[in-house]
Parts: sequence; C-alpha cells; structure tokens
Amino acid sequence: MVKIKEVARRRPANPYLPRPVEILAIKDETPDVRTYTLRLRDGAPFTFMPGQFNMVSVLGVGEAPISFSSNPESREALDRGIFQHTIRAVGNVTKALARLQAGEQFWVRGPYGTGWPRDLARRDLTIIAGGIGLAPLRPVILQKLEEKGGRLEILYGARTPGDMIFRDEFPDWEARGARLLLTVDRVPEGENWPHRVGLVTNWLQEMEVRPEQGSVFICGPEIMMKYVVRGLTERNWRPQRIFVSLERRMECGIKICGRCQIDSEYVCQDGPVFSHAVVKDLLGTDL
Amino acid sequence: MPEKVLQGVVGEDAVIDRMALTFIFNRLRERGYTVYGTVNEKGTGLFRPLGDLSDLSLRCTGGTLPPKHIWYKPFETLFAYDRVRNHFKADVPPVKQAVFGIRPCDVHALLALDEVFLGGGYPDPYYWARRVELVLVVFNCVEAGDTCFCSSMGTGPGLGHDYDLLFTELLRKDGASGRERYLIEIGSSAGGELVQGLKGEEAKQEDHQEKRRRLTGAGQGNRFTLETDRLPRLMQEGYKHPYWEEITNKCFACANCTSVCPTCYCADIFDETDFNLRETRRKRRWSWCFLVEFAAVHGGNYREKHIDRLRQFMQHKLNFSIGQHGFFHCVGCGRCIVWCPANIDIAQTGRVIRGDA
Repeated sequence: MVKIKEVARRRPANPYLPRPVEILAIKDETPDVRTYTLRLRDGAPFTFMPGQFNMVSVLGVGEAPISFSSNPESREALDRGIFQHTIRAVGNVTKALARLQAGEQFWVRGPYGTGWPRDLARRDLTIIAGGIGLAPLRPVILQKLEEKGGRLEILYGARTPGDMIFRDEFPDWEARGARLLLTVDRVPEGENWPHRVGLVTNWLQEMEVRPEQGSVFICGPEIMMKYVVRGLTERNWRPQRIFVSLERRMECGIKICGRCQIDSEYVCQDGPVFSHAVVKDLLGTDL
Repeated sequence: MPEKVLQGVVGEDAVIDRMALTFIFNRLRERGYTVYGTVNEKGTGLFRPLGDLSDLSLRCTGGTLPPKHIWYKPFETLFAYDRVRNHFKADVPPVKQAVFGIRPCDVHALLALDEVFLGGGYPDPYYWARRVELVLVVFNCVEAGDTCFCSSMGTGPGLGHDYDLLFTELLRKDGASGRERYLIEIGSSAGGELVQGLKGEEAKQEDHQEKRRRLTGAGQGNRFTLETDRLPRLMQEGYKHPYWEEITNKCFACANCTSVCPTCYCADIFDETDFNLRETRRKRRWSWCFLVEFAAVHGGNYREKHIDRLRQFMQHKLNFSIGQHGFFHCVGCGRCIVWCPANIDIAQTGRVIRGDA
C-alpha cells in the first residue's frame, strides 16, 4: 500500500514532459512507412531494450506509442546515442511525423515497457512478423546477427512485396546467417516474386527451429498472432517459449491513464511483450 | 460530566457538540485550507468548497457524486509549451484542501487512487500536489443509504484508519437521534493540530459502545449485499455467463456508472493549441471504458462490442483490480446503481455470476 506520509516527502518528477529529438535521417521503407534515425537534442545517451517503446509527440497534435527498431548495442547507439523508430503514417501523430524532414525535431519520452527476453533471444529463435510488426523485432535480429549464437529464422508476411519493410536489408541478414521465409498475400501483376504466397500460418511447417530448443517471438495484427499461436501450439510449442508484442490504445505509457488494460495487465508497463503463458489466460483477448 | 480539553494527540478522543465543527472549520480556514463538504443542491449532495459551515449538509450519506474531483481533476493541464520561448511550464505547487464529511467508502476509494497515481514507477505529480496536504475529516455512517453495500466490501460503515479526524454521531442526551453530539477521534498529527484546545467531554466506554452499536446498525441497514469470498475467481470463470447478455440488452452505454464511480481513473490525454499557435497545452480529462472509442486504435477497436465494455467496467471493479492492487476497486458506495437509467446493479451482477442469486 502507498503510505502517503512517506510519499509526501518527495515531489515526483514530472513524467509527462517529453524531450526533443533531432531527425538525423529519414528512410522510406514503403509508401507510408519511414525509418527515422534520431538523437536527443541535448546529445545525452539513450538506452533501451529491444521490444520497448517511446511515447512519441508532435506538440499540438498529440502522442503515440512507437517501438524502437534499431540495435541498442550498435556502435552509433553506444557512442552517439542514436536510435531509430520505424513508423507507419496512419493516425494524427504519425501523419504529422510524416511531414517532417531531416534536421527537424519531434519529442519523445521513454523508454517504456518490457522487452523481448534476452536470454531466449540468444538461443535458437524464430521471429514471426506481419507488416509493420517486423519493426519492434529488428533490434532482436540485429543484435543476434552480431552474436552468432543459436540459429535465427524469420518468417515474415505482408500484404504485397511493396509493403515489406527493411526489404533492402534482407540480403545482408541472409548473408550473415539468418534464414528468411517471406510470404505475401498477393503479388501485383507484372511483379516478380520468387518467394511464398499466402498467410504466414500456411508456412509454419517450414520452421526449422524446434520446440525443444528454441523460442518464437511474434508481432503483427492480433488476428494473425492468434492463428500463429494456435498453429505453434498444435506443433507442440509450449506457451513459455512463445512471446507476443501486443498493441493497445495508450495515452500515458506509465500505467495511469488506464487505456491499455487487458484483464489485470497494463500493456504499457506489464507488456507490450508478454509470454503466451500469461496472455492465454487473460480475459479480453483470445490469443 | 467531566470536561476535557483536547491536547491534539493521535488516538485521543472526546465527545463534542455541534459547535466543535465550527471550531475545526474555522481553524482550517485560518490555516489557508479550501474546505470541501457535501452541499445539498436541490436534493443532490455534491462536494463543494464551503463558504460557510451552514452550507454543509450531513444528510447526504456519501454525496450523490463522489469527492474524487478534489484530488483528481476532471480537466487539468499536464504542461504548457511555449514555442517562442521553447519553454515548458508544468508547475504544481501542493494545495491545501480539506474534506468535511467524507465517508469511509470514499476514503477507501481515495486509497485505491493513491495506488494508481502514486504507487507505480512514475508517480503523478498533479495528484500528488492535491493529495499530500489533504485533510480528511471523516464522518462514520450511522445510517445506510438506499444502495449502499460497504459492509460487503469491507469499506464501511465505520473507518479504522487513514483519517485525520473521525466523527461518529451519538444520540442526544435525551436519547433522541440528531446531529448534535459526536464522538471525535484523532487519527493523525495534522488532525490533532486542528482540534488542539477544543473543549468537549471525556469519552466514556458507553460512548464507544454506542458508536459500535450505531455502526453495526448502519451495516445491517445495507440493503444490498455481495459475498466477496472467491469473487474474483468466480468472475473470471463467469466471463461468458449469459447474464452479461441480459444486462447488456438493458444497458444504454451512457457511462453514468463510470462517471460517478469514486475509483474510476481512466483518462484521455490530448493537445490544445492557441489560435496564434504560440502555446500548446497537453491536457488530461476523465474518460470511461464505456465510451466506444476508448479502446480504439487506427486499425480497429479492442472493445467495440457493447457487452465487452459493460463487462470491462464490472470485471475491473470486482476482479481485475484484485490482480492489479490486491483489493477491490468497488467500495460499495452504490452510486453506479443510483445513476443507472436501466437499473443495472453491480452487486446483483456479482451475486448472479457467483451463483448466489
């Protein structure tokens, strides 16, 4: 219980104040997704764990939760405090971000939430992602490619080849040992697509990482995650080895506004990364 | 009757008359406190700043609306950003506020909000500023309201902790009921300071016996009941109970229940900018899980269905809050029952899901 007399002695820092970040570079991933390379305006170091997020602000428009898409242990992260967000322009805030240019700034506060389990990421790992859901998993991929321990396979699906993010990095990931299984819902006429077609759930059978040794990290639309988790469970994957990153409406990121609650969990701080062992018993999601 | 002058020591008690209320009220005002109390406005009991003690209406058992707005503002500014000066303004000096006549259930609701706003990793400075100097002059309930079930929830009709001053109405000397004699108990040094020098009578064993008797009577007067033993687990198992459909069919989704709940804390955070674009204020306003856009995201809505929103409200109060904080976020004040235009009743829902009704 909160003891008000103890709490009274120290005024809390204001957790709602954002810090300015400078946009160092913007890269177009798809027609509506951009990767922003960022650094705090004051040059202070910025650390985070893969899977965590920032509350990203455009002052006057609002705030939205956005996960990190860069490797927190890269040289530029450690030496210069550089980090990345990969953002799809779909809401008020993200559309306002899309109008910004390199050299301009926006605002962040964070990092918030739980990350992907580091110990399991070091062993055999399958990453399953849909669409923009690959963004919060890219930090895990980049870390793992540096480490050389345990196999890495990535099962990635998107609506069309043009909706795939980080596409230009795939050859490098493969060259450094990742096994990529790519699939799209449909291929536009005239486009050459040498990979798979169909939902990611159709390709679970191609997974080489075994339930006895490995783990699966999943991020994508909830409906996709639901069927992926079912498919994995049928293939004898235990819920303790399946991790999902959940999306919910968030307005504070610090367990106060109440918007992201599922059952007794707050997605902002108890998540967004949850073990399926926790999620499967929650009322309010049928994952 | 032996006279007693209160020293202001924690745990001290006395029997006092109505004039003592004026003494405490005036002392609070002298100390610069804004004193809130229940004011009867055309039959509605509302917690308002009291200009004069005669405005206080102790007839409204907990107030038709809760005192939550005193520590959690329906609208507030989290910061203002001045674009020209590149400057944030977010000053929150502590405010001196007192509540006169707050009831035990609402004190429990306040303790629930303490956990939400101050108990996590990021304490809220705005709530803190209104909470740290808050003085609670609590009135135990000697009669039950029409929809109270505090004795089921363990939040009333008497309070045993977390008060600065505690009043329990006693019978008049002629044995009649009336708001004239009170047993006063000091619960904190802040409370003690307010009554130091106040004259009353020595409180006798009979006075404490009478207090207990009247509280027991008020508890028995609770017409609504809800057995809480194993309630969270049974609520969890009863997530698909047909009764949810039944009450959803009656529910207007008006959000009255959540609006009047003393423990509801959900909020909407939004930006507001001056016409000249110089200053942006980030604001917070109360929001409610009953609203259709509450859980909406760009690609859909996680609680679009009416039944899911109704269920979220009740499950949160009677189940999820236990997992979050270890106690129920329903304090049995019964206001959601009073305000429901469809006569939906959270205690009845709990009983049906439990299999007790």
